[in-house]
Amino acid sequence: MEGAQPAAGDGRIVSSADFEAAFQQHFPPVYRFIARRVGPALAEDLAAETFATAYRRRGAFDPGRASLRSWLYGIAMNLVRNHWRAEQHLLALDARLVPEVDLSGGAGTVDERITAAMLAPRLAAGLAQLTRDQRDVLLLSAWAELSHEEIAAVLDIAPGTVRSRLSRARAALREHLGDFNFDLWTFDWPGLGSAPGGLDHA
Amino acid sequence: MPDELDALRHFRDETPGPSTGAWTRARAAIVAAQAHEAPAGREPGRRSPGRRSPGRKPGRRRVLWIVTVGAAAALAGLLAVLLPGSLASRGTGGQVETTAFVTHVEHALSELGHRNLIGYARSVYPPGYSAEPVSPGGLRVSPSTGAGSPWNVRYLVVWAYQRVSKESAFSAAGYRVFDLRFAPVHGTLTSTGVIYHSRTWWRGAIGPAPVQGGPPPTQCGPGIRLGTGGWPTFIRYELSCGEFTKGGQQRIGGIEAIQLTGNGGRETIWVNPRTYLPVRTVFSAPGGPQLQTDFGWFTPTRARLAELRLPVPPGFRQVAPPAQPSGPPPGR
Repeated sequence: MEGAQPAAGDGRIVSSADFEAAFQQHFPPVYRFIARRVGPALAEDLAAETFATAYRRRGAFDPGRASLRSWLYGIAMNLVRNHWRAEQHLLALDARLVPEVDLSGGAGTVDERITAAMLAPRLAAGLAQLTRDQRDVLLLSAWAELSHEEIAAVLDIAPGTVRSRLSRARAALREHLGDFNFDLWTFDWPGLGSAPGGLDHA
Repeated sequence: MPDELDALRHFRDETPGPSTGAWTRARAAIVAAQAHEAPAGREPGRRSPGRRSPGRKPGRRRVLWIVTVGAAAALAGLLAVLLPGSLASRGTGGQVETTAFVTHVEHALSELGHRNLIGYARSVYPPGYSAEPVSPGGLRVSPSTGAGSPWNVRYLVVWAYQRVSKESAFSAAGYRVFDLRFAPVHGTLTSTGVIYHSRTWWRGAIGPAPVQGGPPPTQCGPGIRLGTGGWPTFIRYELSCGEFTKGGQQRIGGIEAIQLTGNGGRETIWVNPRTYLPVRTVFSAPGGPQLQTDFGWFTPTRARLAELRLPVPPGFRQVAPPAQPSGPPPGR
């Protein structure tokens, strides 16, 4: 890249190799985070803009204040926030999905697919009902797998606020998934017991 | 014990990773960010001091460099660039002596017309060169008259889509030097120029708008002449007659590109073997400088098409377009 300088060796993005390494490592997860939130069509542009913005602001990245990935997710979050309606629309669509399951393969696999297919619209509906602040914290934790401190840096809020928002968001989502049995990883089926083994997959 | 976070992760894990197109798009955005930034000596992350059009976003791009002189009629969307001493005998009426003379016409990306792609190109000029519009359709590139020349250019970024193209020149410090936009209007190819150092703009007619897709190559030789079939046809043709020879592979911008060399080693093209579209070109003048151009080829989106717009900044004064010089540029 033009204007590349020797690597600083302290975590800052100085040389072209620094930026390329960051791009190679973090582009896939950042893209998937964005795609899951606003859909793949918009994600292509937003993920690209995330890294273009990161390139332009690379001099401002301070590894002493935030990890590289939390800094990148912070840029991505600012872009995603401008597309709140798109995210709501996508969640609404996902929530109305009629589960389609490929029944080929082993029975155990089919069970997992059925569960996943039924879980997806419920999760989407649950996410759609969260406040924007709760959803941001929850998804940065679950999807980006950032620590509370990293989320606090991304959203510029106190770690305690992260913990309280995350707690409320998880409780709200869990309530929305009320009949999901996390132990058995399936929905409780009235009259069929807890496991979907009562279904005939043969 | 699994919980709702695990359920969310399961939801996330079903999301496909970035496609090749997403990678390409991201790399193009990064290249665009580089193009809008001062090339050297500037603190990373600091905003370029160059004038920017309001609301302008770092772009997506594509471009093509070709060396031809006065070949307007033959070009259907190609940007022609001449370096000192290179391709001088190849022109159809132009002349190149010791200076570079660039003629850009509307033809270059005939390939784009066929495939409905937006092309982007970013060329890096050697230090100490200037580029100046000398006619509605002509750009003269030559060694600079001095460090203080307002025409000193280090980068030229070109966007092209079908028969519309825009060229933006930047100084080494990142200042926007000029923008030129070419588009057919009622059958006439017209250009609009915005000159930033003089805060002026002009509009001029070049001639009949070229028809999309010129004839295919009819003879081998140095330089790039796109016609029907665009880049893929040109490259296959030049390979078949031995003008270009295949070299090794090199990873450029995430693409395992094949290196093709021609004209005695003065012209090198790196080609995407899947699309036969150029990834990079390097032209070398005998004993002189090199001109490197990196390309991107994209599907049209509203944001990318916006790169082809050229709004005249408020307060800029309209002037007559520059007149075509009668001979080689002075002072060479």
